[in-house]
Amino acid sequence: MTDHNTILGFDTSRRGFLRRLAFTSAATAAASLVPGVTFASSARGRPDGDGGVEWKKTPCRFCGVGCGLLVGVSADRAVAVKGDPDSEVNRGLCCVKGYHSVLALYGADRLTKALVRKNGTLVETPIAEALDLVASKMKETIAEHGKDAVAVYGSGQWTIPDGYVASKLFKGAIGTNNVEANARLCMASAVTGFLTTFGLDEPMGCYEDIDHADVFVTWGNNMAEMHPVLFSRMLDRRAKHPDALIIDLATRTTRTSEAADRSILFHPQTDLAIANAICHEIIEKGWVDETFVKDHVAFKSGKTGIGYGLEDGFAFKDEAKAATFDDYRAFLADYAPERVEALTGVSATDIRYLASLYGDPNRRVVSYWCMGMNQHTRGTWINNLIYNIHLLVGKISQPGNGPFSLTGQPSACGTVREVGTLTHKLPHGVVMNAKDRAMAAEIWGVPVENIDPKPSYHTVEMFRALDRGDVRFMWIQVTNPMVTMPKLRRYRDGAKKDGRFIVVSDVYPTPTTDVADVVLPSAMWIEREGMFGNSERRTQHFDRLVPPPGDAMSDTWQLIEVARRLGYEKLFPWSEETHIADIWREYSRFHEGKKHGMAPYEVLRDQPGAIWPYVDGRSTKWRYHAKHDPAANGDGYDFYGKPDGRAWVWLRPYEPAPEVPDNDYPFWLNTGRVVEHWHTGSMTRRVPILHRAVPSAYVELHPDDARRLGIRNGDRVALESRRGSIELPANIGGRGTPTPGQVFVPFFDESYLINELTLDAFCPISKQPDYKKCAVRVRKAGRG
Amino acid sequence: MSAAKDRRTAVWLRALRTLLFVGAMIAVVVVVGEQIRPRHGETTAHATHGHGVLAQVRADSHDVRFATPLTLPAHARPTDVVVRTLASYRSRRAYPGAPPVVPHAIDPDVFRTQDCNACHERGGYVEKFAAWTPITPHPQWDNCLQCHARAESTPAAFAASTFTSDAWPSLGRAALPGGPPPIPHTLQLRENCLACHAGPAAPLEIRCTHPERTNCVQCHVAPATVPAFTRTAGASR
Repeated sequence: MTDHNTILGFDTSRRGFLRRLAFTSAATAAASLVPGVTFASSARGRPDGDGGVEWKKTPCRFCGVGCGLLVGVSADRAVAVKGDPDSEVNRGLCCVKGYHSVLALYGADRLTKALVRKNGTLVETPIAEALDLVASKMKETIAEHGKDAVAVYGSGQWTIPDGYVASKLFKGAIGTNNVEANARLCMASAVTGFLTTFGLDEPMGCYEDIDHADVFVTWGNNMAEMHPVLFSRMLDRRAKHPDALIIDLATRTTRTSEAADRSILFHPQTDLAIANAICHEIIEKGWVDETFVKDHVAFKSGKTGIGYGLEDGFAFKDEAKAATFDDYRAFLADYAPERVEALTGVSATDIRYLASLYGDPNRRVVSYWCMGMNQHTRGTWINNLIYNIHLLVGKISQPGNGPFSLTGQPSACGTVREVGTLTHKLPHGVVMNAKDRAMAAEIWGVPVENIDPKPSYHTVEMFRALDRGDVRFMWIQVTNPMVTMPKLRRYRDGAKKDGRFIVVSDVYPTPTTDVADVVLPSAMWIEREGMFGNSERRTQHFDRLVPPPGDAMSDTWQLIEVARRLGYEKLFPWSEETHIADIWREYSRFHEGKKHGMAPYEVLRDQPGAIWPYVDGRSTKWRYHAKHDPAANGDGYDFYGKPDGRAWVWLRPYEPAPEVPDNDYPFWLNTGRVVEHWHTGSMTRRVPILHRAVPSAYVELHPDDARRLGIRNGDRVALESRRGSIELPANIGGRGTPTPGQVFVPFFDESYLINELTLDAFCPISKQPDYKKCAVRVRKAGRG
Repeated sequence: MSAAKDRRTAVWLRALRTLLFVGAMIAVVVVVGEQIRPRHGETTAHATHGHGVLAQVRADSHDVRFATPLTLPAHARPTDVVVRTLASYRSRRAYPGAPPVVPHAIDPDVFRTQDCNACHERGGYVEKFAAWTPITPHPQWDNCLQCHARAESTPAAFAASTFTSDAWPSLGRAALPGGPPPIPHTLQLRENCLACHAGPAAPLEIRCTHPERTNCVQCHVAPATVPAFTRTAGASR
């Protein structure tokens, strides 16, 4: 006891002791009164341990929220993380992945040397030699099979310079449109949704909507786990404004449902019918904002019965036909709330309740969604239908009012959507448009004929082409398709075929590096300079804060090195020291003007991000309204993305999923994420704290189904679809509960490749596959 | 004489009775009041948010003071309590300032509803762990598992990690002998000093000797997070 008091430097006199007791200093009291307690030795006198930590800003490496972080750097190593209080995104709060993000740099099995496959095994090779091999293989493939036999497949984790250099090299220099990114699997439907309704991509609002909204509707979007920082901001808004409501509309009960004021469950795929039923009710109740609709909305119908893309070479082109409000009203007759009750599993009362929230002129409403609506064989349609709701009631482009499509990767917006690393895209516009090609040719300094006016393969078709042999060389950067492709077995077998050459740039060994012929070690995140663009149009710069390990090199620089070996050094003349700034200046030229102007490099270095359009030194927080958007003409709304200056309300019907549960395969299979792991877990599983929290994948079942099948928590369960089977532990009553007749499996775990079961059906407009719905059978493993 | 004496005695007795009655009433009010005093939930999101550090610390110190073994009946007083030390405090954090992991099993309902603050907002003794509940310094946030991962029974590592962070601040960093030590961390998400520095769940080495003084930042200053200084060209005119 005395020992302890001395340690703490306490006054041990009787009077002092009594005085502290009188104040019931709990610390002293507990320590003094409790026998049998041992105390740690003093830490006093240790040299200052926190000296020399420098704090530097960066956006988070993980999801599309794009939180601002401050990374503590000491002796060339990242040692700590804080939320950046100056970031408008997260205002100092992070999630468990962000707080532990820097640990992802330090997995013991980091790739630090280039590997080249020799006689079947990957052998360490000097990186210059590996880059020579990549370049010569590309040349050889182009010579033998043509330029469309080489492809690059990147991701929404590409920095903006990575994607820009990839696009310039493949589209501008080589002249192939074989540029795709895993964001096709993630938000392509959001893009086509925006383009078909507004003519321009990306949300009109920003995260500040949360501070103004009265109602939040999450459409198939477990924000508590997937966009936790934004969800906490919503909870904070509700704590301060107790009238604020959170409504969770989902096919699975989650932490979001638990925190919501109301949880509404629906049958998979029927969100289409629910959205139309809400519009039906809004019109029948007379809640339409008639002036807004008359002045700013046009009605269109498109093709129906549009297929599912299950066959190789599937092609589809939609066609917009003019319609009227009366056509629309007649179209909605099938969607009266009572008529869709049985289909959707949602009561007419609940649909009317939702409609009343959207329709109430005194409530500001934000709708949020992410993969639930985007990974959907009618993904473009359901995006359109949410816009319909907001457009009918005129709740859009105002603080606290608007539809908001969230993304899952740190630069799905910044790189894939804005730089345009998709087969049909250019940094400005599309390859099909002669003016856009001319602009790209001029800025890139290439002959305009170099740019092929015909898109080649979207992601699923690109991997099919690899399987068929139409694509022979594929360079995969910052992504893990051998875990994430749907109907995985076909595409893995295809990648392993003879005569295919696969280059993989990554930071850790993955199932994708397992099929590689060359593995290039990448500099990760803050080991190099770069920019990400998040869900709210915010571009954020990060510097090289720590040196990369071994031979690791940024993806940008790998591409430049190969481009130079291919003879394109004039197109990529930049120095290692200033190339990111130079690339940013060249790239920004594509977006000059009030509609998409980008913040200058110096501004991005200086502050935690800027939202485009960045005009006259200011971020544009809400687009399409003259009050906030310098590009909008007049003094009110201006949907300048469409030639008619209007936003389009689409007549999109409910159509069923391609594969629905039947007698042979009676369960829906839904896949997704958990808060602790990100994407395929190649980074988060190497963070001990995150791995310990969720060490392996599992299958969630509804308790009633589990009881019926005799499955208890932890039992091995066999799942089988028409494409593959898997055995994994059951999880009942965990963080999520699927609706009866549905099972849920997270996809982060490479030991349980759930995508061997999923279906490669996609939205015919966006070409984005549906990972949320296919049919499986479920049984307790080890039984007939 | 004796009549006068009796009268005096009667007056004294009356006065004594009145005094006893008043005393008894005060005792009743105090005892009953203490029983019916609202305790849990005093520091709600509203109370803690927007009232500044001072008010919050006051409110919480009131809470914390009642959560001592002294308020327990003698037979319920813990005899073998796990007392938190800086070593155990650090073992749950990847680096100084990291959100701690959850070291105990989480009830399945709580795992979904995230009602962690039911215990961690106010603290208290938990018999099954023989420990005092650490108090959260930020009860206004309630999507708890967003930041705090459950530490499952330890499975084999997916891959070893070479991450190290030995940036823990030392104790006793006062500029002058006897002076108030500065706060070695920012107050971001840790606005409530007493949550970690007082009460039976506070790590021993960092317990405050004077929790009754609630305006902590009057004497102890917190550092701002200063980004590294970079010289901008042309800054010196």
